[in-house]
Amino acid sequence: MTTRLGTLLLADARLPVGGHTYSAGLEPALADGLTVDRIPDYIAARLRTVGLTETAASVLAHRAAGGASGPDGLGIDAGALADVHDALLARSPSAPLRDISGLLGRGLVRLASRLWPEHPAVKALRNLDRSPQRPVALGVVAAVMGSSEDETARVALYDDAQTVASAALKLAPVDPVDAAGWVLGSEGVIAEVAAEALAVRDADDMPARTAPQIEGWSLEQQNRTRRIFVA
Amino acid sequence: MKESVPARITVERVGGRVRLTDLSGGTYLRAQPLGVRGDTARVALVGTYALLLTGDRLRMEITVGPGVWLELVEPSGMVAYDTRGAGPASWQADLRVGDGACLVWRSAPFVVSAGADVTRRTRIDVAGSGRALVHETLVLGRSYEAGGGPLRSTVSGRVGGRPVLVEDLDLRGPGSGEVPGVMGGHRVLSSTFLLGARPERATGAGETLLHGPGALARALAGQAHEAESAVAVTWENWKAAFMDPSRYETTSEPGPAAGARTSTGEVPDPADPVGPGLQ
Repeated sequence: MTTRLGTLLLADARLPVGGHTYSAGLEPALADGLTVDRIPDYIAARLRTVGLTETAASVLAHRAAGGASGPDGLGIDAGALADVHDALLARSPSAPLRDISGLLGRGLVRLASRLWPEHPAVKALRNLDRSPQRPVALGVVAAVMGSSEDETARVALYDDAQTVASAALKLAPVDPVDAAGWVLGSEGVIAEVAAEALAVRDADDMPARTAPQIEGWSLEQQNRTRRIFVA
Repeated sequence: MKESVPARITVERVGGRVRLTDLSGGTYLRAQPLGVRGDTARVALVGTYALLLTGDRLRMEITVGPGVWLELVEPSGMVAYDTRGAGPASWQADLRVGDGACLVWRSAPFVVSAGADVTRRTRIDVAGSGRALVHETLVLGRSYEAGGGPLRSTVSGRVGGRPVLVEDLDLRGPGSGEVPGVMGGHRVLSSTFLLGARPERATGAGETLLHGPGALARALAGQAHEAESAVAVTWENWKAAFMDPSRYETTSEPGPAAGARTSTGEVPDPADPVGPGLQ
């Protein structure tokens, strides 16, 4: 099996969609006393909670967009896409985290609107919200680029782990090789969580694994004046 | 497995007056009316045993009819005990709030002892212009225990049939209380849920506005009193701003919930403050 170029692009921080502004909650976590040696545990905890919820949203959005439809985009189900978006919003109680997700989602919408302005799935995504939540946008864009459901799930989870790891390099004295090791070390958890996300049937069935401390950290971070990342 | 009978509390306007049309105590709980005034009612939830053991399945169904204001008062907390591997216990609350109605419930701490295997499920369904303000405190382990559970606690809040808050706190795995980002080693989680209304902005620590009509305030702490006091101001503010009973206390004056009422202008009979539910 070959990996679609689009999947590689989605996993690449150089894709101009604004991912560099986001530390996946690591900055406030460190400010609250999380030690560097626990970052791998933090990565795993995110994957199993918010990671699972968001990945399930990406998978369902990918399906609502008609799957790996390629250029034609037939089979987009705008109603199902809206249900996925609503379900994800109800599972995202933190307003600052919804805001940053919308900001990142908007980056993907901008990219997709320029590259595939007439694609029915891209139009449906745009109609959803000016700034749709990132996991939903990711699922649609992945479908449009021809990534499979499985690739979409893995890229969503990889990106979350890598976001923490690369933010750590800017926030703490961390050896970049160690950070790469953390991401590779999460392979097992990613496989497990991806399988769980792929087994989700519909928006009502979407997991909602809560991480109260991550939510709390995001509320603290929004009130900080001196910060490197928005969240 | 013990066969359990759900506790039911139904408060409705019947013929222009508030009546407690169902107050059937269940296997674990007794509902005790504290009084009715205008369109408001207060009911105490008293545990017949204040504990949850292996195989126990506690269920309660609370229904607040259109235009009624109900406060539930819970004088004592609940403790789920070590099941010694003999099987899980469950706690389930279904709260239904009608159009123009209000439900206020500051529940007492729910203590999950080490070795207790508990699943909690809270469903809050708010119709139309109804509102619910519900507070819960989950405590992992009694004071001398290092942790508690396994526990899984889910909350589903809907307004007008649409999901506003869906949560699933899963603390079943070994060491899950220590996981950074989830409980982060804290024993206590206090949460105040407001559904059907939304303040203009989040002001207090731990407050956040939900995407739909609702808000949440939450605190993690080592001790129950710390977590509770961290969200106490929010509770008071939201209660005063959104759950004011005074509009409901006089039935003759149509309040903002008037659209939902079937008011006949009848003055409540002080000699029969509760209605047939008491008999």
